[in-house]
Amino acid sequence: MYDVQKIRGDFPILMKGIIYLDNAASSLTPEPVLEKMLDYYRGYRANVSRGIHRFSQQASEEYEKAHSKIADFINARSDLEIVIVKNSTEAMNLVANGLKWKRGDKVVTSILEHHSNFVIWLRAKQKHGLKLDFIKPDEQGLVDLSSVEKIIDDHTRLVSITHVSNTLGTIVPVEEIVKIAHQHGALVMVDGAQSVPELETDVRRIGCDFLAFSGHKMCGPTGSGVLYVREELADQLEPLCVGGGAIEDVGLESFQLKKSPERFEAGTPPIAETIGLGAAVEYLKKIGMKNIENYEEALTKKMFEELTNIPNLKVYGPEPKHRIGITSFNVGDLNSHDVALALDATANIFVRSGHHCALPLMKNVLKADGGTVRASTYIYNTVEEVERLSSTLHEIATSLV
Amino acid sequence: MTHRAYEVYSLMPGKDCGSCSNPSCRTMARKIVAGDTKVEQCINLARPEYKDNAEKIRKLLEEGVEQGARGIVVVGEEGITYIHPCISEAGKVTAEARLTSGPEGEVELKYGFYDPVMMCWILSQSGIFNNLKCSPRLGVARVDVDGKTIMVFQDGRINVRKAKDRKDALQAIRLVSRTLWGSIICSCCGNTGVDCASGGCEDCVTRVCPVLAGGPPDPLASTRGPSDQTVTSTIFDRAKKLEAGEYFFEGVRRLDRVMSLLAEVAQKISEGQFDRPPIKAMNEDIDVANRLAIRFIVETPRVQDATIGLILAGVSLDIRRMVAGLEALAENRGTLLETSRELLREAVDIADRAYNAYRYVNFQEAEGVKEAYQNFRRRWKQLFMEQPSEQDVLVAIEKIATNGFYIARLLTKPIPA
Repeated sequence: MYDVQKIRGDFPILMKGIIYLDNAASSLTPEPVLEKMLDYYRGYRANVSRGIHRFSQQASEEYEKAHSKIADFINARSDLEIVIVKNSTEAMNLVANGLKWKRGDKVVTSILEHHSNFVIWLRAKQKHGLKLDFIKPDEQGLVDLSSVEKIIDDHTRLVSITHVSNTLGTIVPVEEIVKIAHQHGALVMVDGAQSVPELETDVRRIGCDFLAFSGHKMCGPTGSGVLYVREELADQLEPLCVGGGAIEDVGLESFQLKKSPERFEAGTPPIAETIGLGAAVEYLKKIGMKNIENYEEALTKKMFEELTNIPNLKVYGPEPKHRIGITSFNVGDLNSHDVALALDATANIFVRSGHHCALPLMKNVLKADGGTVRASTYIYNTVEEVERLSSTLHEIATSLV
Repeated sequence: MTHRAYEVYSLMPGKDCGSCSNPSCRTMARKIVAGDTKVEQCINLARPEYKDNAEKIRKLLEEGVEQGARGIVVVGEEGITYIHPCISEAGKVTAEARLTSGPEGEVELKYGFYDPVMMCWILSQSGIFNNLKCSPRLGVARVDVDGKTIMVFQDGRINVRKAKDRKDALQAIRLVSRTLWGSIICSCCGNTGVDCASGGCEDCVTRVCPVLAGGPPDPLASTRGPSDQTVTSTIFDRAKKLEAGEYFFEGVRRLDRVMSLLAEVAQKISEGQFDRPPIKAMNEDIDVANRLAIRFIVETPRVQDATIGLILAGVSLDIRRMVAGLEALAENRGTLLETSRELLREAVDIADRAYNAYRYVNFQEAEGVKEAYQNFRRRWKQLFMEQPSEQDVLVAIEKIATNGFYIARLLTKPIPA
């Protein structure tokens, strides 16, 4: 039994009378996560790895434990596959900069991507002479596997694709894409920023080589993110930064990097944030990712049914069965920012508006150059909140258009 | 779920008769929602044809009605709460200001900030903005001006997008906040600025109106706060010295023309000549006067002088309601009872005398009007009780006299100019 009221009790920020529907940008943080972080700051605040005293020992232990919890959460083979970064963007930059590229290597990404999985490849193209190709979704934002098969070939070094579109919420068949890519000897990076918070994620089942996700979208603190690196690949990947903590040995002429994950985590890491993220995945696990997935599916369906019944309102993307958590729309010819401001001012509803860092999708697929309004739900949102959004949008659509 | 205050307003009879001692149904609805007065205080809601509406309002109140924007607001430097680069427009800035309704800087918004009905109406009347979209129900307005998009919320927030820079944003906020001065609600009496400047606010007779004191909110004005408190009587002299004065005097000329027709039109209607009364032309003149009033408020440099424009807007509103009274009589098309005809003559006389007292600054005449109005009200009340079938006619007649009385009251109350 999914007890949304009990969950809401863990988020006192909701008592401010707001309806928070901007979860795809960042989720709220529950009390147990905040408590866990404060425990560190209040109880055993110290640096990790380098100290022999009790606080440093305890901090190191909690920091490492968080790696294990995260590894367990996505079913990684070991916590050595979990690299702590500050967000998905950094995780994907690490891969784009860290692989040893050869001129002419081909990278395949898609038109659905968030800029963080798009701009990095435009830059890598300039820097390393890569070839770029794009998987184009249909006008609904769905990816057809037969078109994927045509684009991925034996020259493809890496396929980097999102699991869930941050604009449309459409679910991309990443497992199948991984199979196709691996048949051609290509690596696969999955952008899990929107999927890991919503879907039960199993890196072994997906079969991907890299998975990037952000802690702050899944009840964790800001500044906490993860790059999953398949164990065998860790040594092939150059870290973004080198320095203290990442080094096995240093001489006057050379240095020796540690094994993963330390080799990627130079300098003092975000200790409190990582411990917080460990608490967040524990929190989500306690609710049950399958339960969350089912609950979010129901909310997404409700959202679709409500919004498609409003006159003058256009919902982008396919039926709810193809997506999770995210609904993009526009009201008449109103600018998306106007709608977002009106929702805030008249009903305390917080949504996102604009391009959602996905200009290629906006321009080439949705033909919504002015952007869209995006409502995104999470574990604490209720059917009543979706109804309130719907009734307010109904008022906007009938009286402000 | 709670209801919006606008729902209560939309169930009011909308006659703006003034019998409840509020100048409009907007103020009355607001006070009902705030619990300051009762549904029963509206004579029209008590009539059988509005029984259903009264019931619906009571039901809304039971279920809970939100006033729209209660709470305390504090204005920061220059009234700007934030300014940062636009999300979707490179090189442009977005800014938001939150206004307060007095010079104090911190006020409790008992009734909300802008009256949403008045807000939408003033924006549409002003002729300043493009692509106006306004929903009094939601309390949201959206306009374009000089490539900028501005959204106004009834809680007093003004959001500007696509401004060139900080100064450009401030100028846009200034334009809107000056334009909408008349729709700011006084937290003491529940009337808007223009209601007060129409003479419709009883409280202003005994104390200075906090909405009007200090002039319109203006993020670019160097000074704000109460200044030389003078009375309506000085506005004609002061306006002569101002560059924007021409707007004012042209507006006054338009209203003079409307008032010169009032008695004649009333006479014809009471004689049963309903065909083509010049109501439309009269309303057009009033529209022009109102537009010029707004222009004066926006363009006159010193905020303290803006009151002159608001009084013109207020008197325009009074005269508009008088003409609406005539229109209701013309539409009624029934033969007036002799008692009603007599009362109409009396009402028009009050209106004419009041307007002349105001135009030629005649305090004695203004006092005389007040006395005449008191007599009128006594007779009116008696007839209203005795003749249920004549009530629509009587409400229409009352509007003419009451708005005349408001104009006379402008001369005696201490509006700071």
